[in-house]
Amino acid sequence: MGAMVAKEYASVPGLRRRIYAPFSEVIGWIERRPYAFLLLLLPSFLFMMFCFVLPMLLLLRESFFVEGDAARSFTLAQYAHFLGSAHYRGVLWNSMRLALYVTLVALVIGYPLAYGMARLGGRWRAVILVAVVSPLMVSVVIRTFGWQILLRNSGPINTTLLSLGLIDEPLMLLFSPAGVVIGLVHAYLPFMVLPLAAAIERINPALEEASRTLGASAFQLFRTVILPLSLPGIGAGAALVFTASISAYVIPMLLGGERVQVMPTLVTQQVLVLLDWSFGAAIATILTMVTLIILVIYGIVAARFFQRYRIEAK
Amino acid sequence: MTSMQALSLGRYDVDGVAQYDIELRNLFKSYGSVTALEALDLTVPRGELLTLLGPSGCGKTTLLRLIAGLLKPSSGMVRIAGKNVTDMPAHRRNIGLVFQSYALFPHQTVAQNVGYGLRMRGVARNVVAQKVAEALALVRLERFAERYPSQLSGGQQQRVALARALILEPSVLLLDEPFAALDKALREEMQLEVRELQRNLGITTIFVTHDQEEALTISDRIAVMNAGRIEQIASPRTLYEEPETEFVLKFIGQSSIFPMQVEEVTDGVTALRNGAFTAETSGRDHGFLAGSKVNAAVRPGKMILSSERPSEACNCVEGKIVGAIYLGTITHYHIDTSAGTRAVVHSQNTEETAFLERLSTGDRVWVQWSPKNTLLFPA
Amino acid sequence: MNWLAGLALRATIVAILGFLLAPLVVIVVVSFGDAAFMQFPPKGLSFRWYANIDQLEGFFDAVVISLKLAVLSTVIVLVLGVAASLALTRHRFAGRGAAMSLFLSPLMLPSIVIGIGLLQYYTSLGFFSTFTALVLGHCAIVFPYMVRTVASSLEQQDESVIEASRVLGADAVQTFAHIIVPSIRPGLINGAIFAFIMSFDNYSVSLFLSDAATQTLPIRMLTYVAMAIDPTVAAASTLLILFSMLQLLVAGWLIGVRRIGGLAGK
Repeated sequence: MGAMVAKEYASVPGLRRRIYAPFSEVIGWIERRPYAFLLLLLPSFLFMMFCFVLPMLLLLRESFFVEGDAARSFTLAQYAHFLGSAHYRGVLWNSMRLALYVTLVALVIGYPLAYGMARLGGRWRAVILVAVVSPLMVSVVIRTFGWQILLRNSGPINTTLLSLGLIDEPLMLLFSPAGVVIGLVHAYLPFMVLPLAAAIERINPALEEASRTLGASAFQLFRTVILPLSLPGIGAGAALVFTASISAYVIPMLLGGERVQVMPTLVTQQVLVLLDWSFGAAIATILTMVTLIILVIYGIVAARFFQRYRIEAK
Repeated sequence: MTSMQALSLGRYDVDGVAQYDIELRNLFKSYGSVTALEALDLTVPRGELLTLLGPSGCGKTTLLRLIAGLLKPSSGMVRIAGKNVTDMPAHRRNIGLVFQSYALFPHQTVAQNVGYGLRMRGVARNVVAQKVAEALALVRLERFAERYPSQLSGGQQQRVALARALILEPSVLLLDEPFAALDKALREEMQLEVRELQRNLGITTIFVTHDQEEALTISDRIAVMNAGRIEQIASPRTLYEEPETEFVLKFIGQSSIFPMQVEEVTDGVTALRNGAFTAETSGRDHGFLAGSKVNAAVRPGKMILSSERPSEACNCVEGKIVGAIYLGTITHYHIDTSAGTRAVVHSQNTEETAFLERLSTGDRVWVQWSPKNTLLFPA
Repeated sequence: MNWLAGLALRATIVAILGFLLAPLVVIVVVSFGDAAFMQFPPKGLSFRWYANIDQLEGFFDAVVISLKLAVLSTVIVLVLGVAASLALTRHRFAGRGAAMSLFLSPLMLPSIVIGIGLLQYYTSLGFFSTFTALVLGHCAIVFPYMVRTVASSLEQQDESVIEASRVLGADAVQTFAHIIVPSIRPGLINGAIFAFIMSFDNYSVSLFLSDAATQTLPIRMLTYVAMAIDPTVAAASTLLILFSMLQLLVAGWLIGVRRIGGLAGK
């Protein structure tokens, strides 16, 4: 070995090495400080504190004060105003109901896609993946524009149904809750399909074969094995779709118009048109609370019930 | 201990400076309240291959990582080639380390992997190329220089890892269970190859394994580790023949253990009794007082079987054969002795022992051994 | 029976894929229509609406602003995210979980709420509707995605490979450049492409933070779509769809189709 590698390289380092050496010394020195790695964390920490957490806290604070009140005393008036009005309660209820419909439809439509992605394999997997993900790459404004064209009274859906004689006059699809649901399902279907496909993929195919050899029909197999074991994916997908739908602004605005008022359109109106900051902040807080509650419920359910499936599914 | 000192005495230079390549003093490592390594002293003379042997979690990998500088000791000192490197980061220590997982860089070719250390030191490109070619020749992988690690077999990957470590001419080579992922035949081939390479290069090497057979095959000395401590450091033969603790006895090889009581100690002979069964030791004073409880152990190859009661009653116990496993040159007998211990006897299959073939399960035999082969441990 | 179920499944999937692609197909088809109003199916073929795109007020300005914004946010978030992910995955320390939650917290809030909060904050600081506020706002929205992508690819990295590099004599920076970056390259590309798209398509923050001088493309599009009469908007949309597909192709070419799945899902 001594003959094989002479030591000369250690004593005659290349030019690049000589230029780099002092930097390497500094790096080595910093690295040996026990908490040096916190330096890597510091910029992100400061950024998040001052460009996200603090603005959010200030928004929360704003909701507890009345706009224009010189004394700026603490009050729950904004919340009382919201909850005391049948109109605003209706908007909240309307938002939640729409999000629930979207979640259910996305589950029904998304399940076959997810199952196909997980089980049909090969080309199907790739095709479904691209088809599910590629609309995500297109701006939601453009996608919604497409739905506007499709759903109009003179759009292809209505003209087809009319010419087939199935309806006598155009269906009111655009500027209706139905249109909003269609648009939202289209927008957030990937959020359902991807976790669901991952969950179905985790189910050991041997379980399906075992179930079939034990005499289960295709439907029984689905009901007794696949559906229960894919519950974690359903839960994750439902939580994502629900929270995304209830916070959506562009789709309800373009497809619902004046008729379909939801929380995001309401809050935008308060802030951008009516300039009522405090009330806007209160609505924003209520909307945030609803999403957080959904996420917390999902977290509890996942920890309680899905964990045990995970072991069985292994 | 005596044999170890004799070994290292020969390694002193004329001016009396110890030629230790690795020297650990009072090395201690804990994670919070969990002690991974207890104040540990260890010296490895130049050119030796020392194996750290022990069950998983005994601290052998921790020790290796402390030497490599991948972990910082809680206290104590690490000296490599006479230099105190305790506070030196891993990349300054010039140590060769081969991982169990090989840890080859998947995005670099074999040649790039092997040349990595030299490139990081800013060595000129043509020099790197030449050294890489030499290092690959050393491990007989010249033809694979442009392959990627994923295109090599396990044994070849291992050799790349070895070349990558050796090209830097490290002061010490550390091998962390390098053959654990290889199948048995390849493992044995690699053991011989590494041993030969290590001897030829004369590089001080520490080898970590949990496989006692591998340790016996490859080592100059073995340090048997248990619960963060070194139980015994000695040559393979000494470890087997004269284990200092019951842990070493049980970890390396098999043995039959008889619980007994010390009757008296005279002239280095310890007399033992367990009911009607008596035994004695000779050649070594174990320092037990009369009346103390001990475990007397005998290696399976040190016992002989006879089908008739021998004249000597001491170091002899009666028993029934419960099983015999024929293995060609030897046969393993399992015998339930009247002392209550199930003894294991490895008997050479020769003319003299041909009578044993006629015995069958349930037959009565006598197990006998020489007093010098009785090993004593506190109960 | 079995093949029937299989056939039914495949037919259903094809129908749903049709549903997914329908709005995009409709826009593309309409954009080539000849009539002065949006007609489906169109009667004649024409490219004149593409020539008409420059009649859309501020379209090209908005494209430039959105591109600048997306590139800038992506670069900032990439640097911040890689540094933070290194600290979070390569070290165990008290508060590590809390730091991770902090970085992922924007995912928990409705994006429209974030937009309102930022508008109020930057107005009170006095930088209403400046480009800086937009960049900072987009970074806050995009940051969690970047951290998550990069951290998860760092977590999959084989620790012993990094140790091998150190033992072979590379310092922290050399190890980062020669070993860590190549092995998390797919994650970095994934994160960067996703960050770019998230910023380029964002409306929830831009809606509140941009004004006439800094209107981003999605905000412009929102106005055009709300008032669309002739197929010019469809032509512009088709170009943008093409741009998106190009991004998808680049992503697929750089990191493989399978990995793009990691992009979606909140």
